[in-house]
Amino acid sequence: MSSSELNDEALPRLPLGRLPVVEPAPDLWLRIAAAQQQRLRRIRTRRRFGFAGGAALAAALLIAIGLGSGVDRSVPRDAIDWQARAQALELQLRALASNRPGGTAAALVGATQHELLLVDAALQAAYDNGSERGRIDALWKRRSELLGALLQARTNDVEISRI
Amino acid sequence: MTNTGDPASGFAQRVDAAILARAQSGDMQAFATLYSTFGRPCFNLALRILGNRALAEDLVQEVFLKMFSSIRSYRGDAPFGSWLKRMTVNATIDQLRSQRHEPDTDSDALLQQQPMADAAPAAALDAWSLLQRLPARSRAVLVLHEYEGYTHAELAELFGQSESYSKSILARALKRLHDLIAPTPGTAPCHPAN
Repeated sequence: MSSSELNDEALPRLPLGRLPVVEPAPDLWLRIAAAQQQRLRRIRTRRRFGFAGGAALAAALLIAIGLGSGVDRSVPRDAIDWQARAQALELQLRALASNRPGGTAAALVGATQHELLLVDAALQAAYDNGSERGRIDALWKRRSELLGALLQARTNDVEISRI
Repeated sequence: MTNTGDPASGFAQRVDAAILARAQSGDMQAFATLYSTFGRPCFNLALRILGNRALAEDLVQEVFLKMFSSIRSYRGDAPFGSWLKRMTVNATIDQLRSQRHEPDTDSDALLQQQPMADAAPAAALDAWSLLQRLPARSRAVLVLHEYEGYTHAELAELFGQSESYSKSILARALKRLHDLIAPTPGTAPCHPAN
């Protein structure tokens, strides 16, 4: 096709009349609005699950960090209620209050009791500060271990080893 | 675009600033108002180019959903109708690109089934019938150039081709239509009426 043929002036003039104006389906807007609502619901759901997923991941990370080195990883966290166990050990210790070890055992018991006081203070601070559950559980576990050691020392009047 | 104010297309209708502001904040009632203003021109533009009612309605839905999500980016640099028309034309051309086959449409039967808002039925039927005898891409170029006022430079940009391509497609389309109607004597030549 030559360039002169491409000029608008060279194009054939046609009796193209006015085109009809056709009405769209009466329910087209309803379909569009429904599609829009569905899309908004999908967006909201994605955001909600995205937030929940992010929060769950963050919580899992904090628990892992909070438990840190003090956790025996071979035991599932929920398998032992360290708080209940610590309270039970404390009751047993009170019952043996008159049985006091002597000598080296007494010194080690003193050191254990000192650490127990530190753990109690840390627990109180953890509750006051709203610390993560993992951090609190780890402290209760340590308290149980210390109480168990004290109980063993008083029951058997034997030398306790450093925990 | 040389003829954005085409009253026949309906895209030149003004939109109240308050409606736009409400739509930009996600108000569905405002979107409904925008649809009542521009739904018909959007549908007719798509129908003229695609030649298929179902495809045109799907395209209107696609364009309005896209408009809902992008209306916050509309800054008012151009009239809202022009902005929406551009979206419609782009979506229509994308649709043409994705089509592997021409839609199988009985255009005369389709037209007779449509409720007409205006235009003399006989003349409209002629123009419609002629358009539907063209391949989709030729029809798109002809509708956009002859009825919607797009220049060849704008068509070249829309189709990602040269101006020569657009001119060539239009010339062939007009020649084809001319050949179709040539046997009819006594017809006064004219440009399409808007």
